[in-house]
Amino acid sequence: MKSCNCPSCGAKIDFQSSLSVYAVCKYCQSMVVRRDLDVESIGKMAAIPDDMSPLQIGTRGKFLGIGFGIIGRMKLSWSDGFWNEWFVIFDDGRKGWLAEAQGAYAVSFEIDKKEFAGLRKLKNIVLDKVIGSNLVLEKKILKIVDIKEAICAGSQGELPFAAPVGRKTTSIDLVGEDGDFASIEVAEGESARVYMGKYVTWEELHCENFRILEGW
Amino acid sequence: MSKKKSPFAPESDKINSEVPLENIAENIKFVPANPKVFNCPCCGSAISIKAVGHSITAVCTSCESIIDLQNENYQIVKKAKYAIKETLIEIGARGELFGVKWEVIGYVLKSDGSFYQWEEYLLYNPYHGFRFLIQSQGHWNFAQVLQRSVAKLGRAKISFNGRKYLKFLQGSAIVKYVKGEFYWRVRKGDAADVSDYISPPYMLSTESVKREMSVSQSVYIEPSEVQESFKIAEMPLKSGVACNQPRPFKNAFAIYLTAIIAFFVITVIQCSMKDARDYAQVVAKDFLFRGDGKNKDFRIAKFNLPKDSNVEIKTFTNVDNDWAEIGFSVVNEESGKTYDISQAIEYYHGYSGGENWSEGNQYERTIISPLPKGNYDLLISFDSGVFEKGRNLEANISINRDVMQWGNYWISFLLIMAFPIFVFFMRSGFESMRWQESEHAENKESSWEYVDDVFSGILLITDLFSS
Repeated sequence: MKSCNCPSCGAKIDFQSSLSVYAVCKYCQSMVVRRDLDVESIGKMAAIPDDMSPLQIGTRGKFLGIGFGIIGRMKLSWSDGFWNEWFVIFDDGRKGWLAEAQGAYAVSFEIDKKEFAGLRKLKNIVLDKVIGSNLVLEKKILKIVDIKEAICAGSQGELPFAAPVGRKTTSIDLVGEDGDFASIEVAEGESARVYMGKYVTWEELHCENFRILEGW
Repeated sequence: MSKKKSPFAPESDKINSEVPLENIAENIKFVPANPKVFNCPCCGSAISIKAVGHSITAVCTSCESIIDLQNENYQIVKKAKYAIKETLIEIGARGELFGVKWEVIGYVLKSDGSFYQWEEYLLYNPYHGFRFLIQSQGHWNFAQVLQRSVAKLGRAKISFNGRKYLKFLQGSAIVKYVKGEFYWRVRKGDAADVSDYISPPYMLSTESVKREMSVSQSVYIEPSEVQESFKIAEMPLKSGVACNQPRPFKNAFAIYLTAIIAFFVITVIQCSMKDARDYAQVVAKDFLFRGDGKNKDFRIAKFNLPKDSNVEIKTFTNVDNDWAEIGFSVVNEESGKTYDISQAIEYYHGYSGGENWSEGNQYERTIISPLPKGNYDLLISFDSGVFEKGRNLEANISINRDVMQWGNYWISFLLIMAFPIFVFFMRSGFESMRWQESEHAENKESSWEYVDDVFSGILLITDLFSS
């Protein structure tokens, strides 16, 4: 674990994972980026809008038998609602994401897809392949179910990239016949990222240390 | 290590280092999640949002205005123009279904454009997400939106999760009334194209608006289950057959199989009984009763039963367009106990109206249920129409013991078959009622393809073999 002081308020910031480059200061909500020797503040984050999510930083769960822990969160907002992307580190060292939208959960990992790297290329995909059409990823036939223009509504904890409030993303969701899940994310001014994984149920996640929800 | 790794494969070459999450969690201010309360921009009443972070539409409980929660200023989508409606299950009611506690947070009344209406209750559990409880004509379904694609939607038959689904209908769903809160934008008059595919007790339903389609899977649940879990005083009465209502006698296959096994068993018993018994003729005698009335009295024959056994009396006579009545008294020599039997024989025939006709026959057979072993006297008396005509009556009487009886066998057979036949007709009648409501009545012919029967049958057989 690496520790440093928040360049904005001086509070201690711990980087739990070597995979994390960005962290949000718990006290002043500044987003800091880790350089080789020190950290740099890259702006203040607004407090995350509250929700009824049962997950929180520190929640542990399981996916396909391997334990993971949540170390960061990015909340996204689009025209028809919000969803959470929880940044997770697996016990075997992999990093992944646990997406939580409308009470559905999906665990995914970033995959290397050079053909989607450029935004220009993605625009072609969006133009020719609209909702309802199929795309083949990792030899799996996946159907485009959603294309959303989202903006970051806040982040928390550690993240592998900078996610300031207002960061714009085009998010394409895909599903397969066996609960396969994929998403293509293109943040404004960045290369596309492709994530693949599976939808999981709350029971399958075997969560521990989740949030207290009053009345439930 | 040039081989490309699956993104799901654990990176075992990395050090297994559990992340010390406690340190992060420790310093973050966690607040327990609570419902959110705000004031209705229209009437000022307090509105409580339960699915905070999910719901984007809320209906004011006082003035019924529809409010857009995704908009910072909580914009009024639509001012209420209709009166508040009471619903069977009220918003805020909680009940347990399928082992999970759910809270009713939304209600939508939908119609297909005709008089036909159904109700959809939106259920919420912050851990498990959203489900729907749907009521139509007193029938209930529990539904969940699928997070996966379904192949070949649109065809008359589709396969999903190892089951065959048959297309039942295609139509539209129009929102007639809403209350509560929703994770999507909803307002009165919203219309969607819907289609249903059935595999009782399951159903797949599609709902599309423009190019966006969602597929949900429903399972039929008994009204009593809903009534019990949500404490409903009075439930709407079931009418007709719901499209994915399971057929009565879910275990029909087991019933049919049991009947076949029972039939086999009684047949084996019947045949083995014949082998075990030792059939024998104990009396065979011709009698002549003279028309002059000189020997009309009792005739005596004797026989012995070496063990307790039933006795069969067979009589052949020469009556022709006449009748005869033969009385038998079987007397046990030791105990003197008498068993009386009488046989009536009539045989008439003739030619009238260009046709030959006949009625009755010259033969009669009677079985006396088991008699104790011993020596018996057989006393026979005769009366017949032939005597009045001065003719002789000839009779051949034979007595057999240990006779195989088919009567019980056929009665057992009928008893065994009655219930399965009843079940079969109940089920096919039910199936006809179901498909009456469908635009795809031709699919009724494929209804045997629902795997429920075959599946439960296979389960039963495997159970039998494994036990």
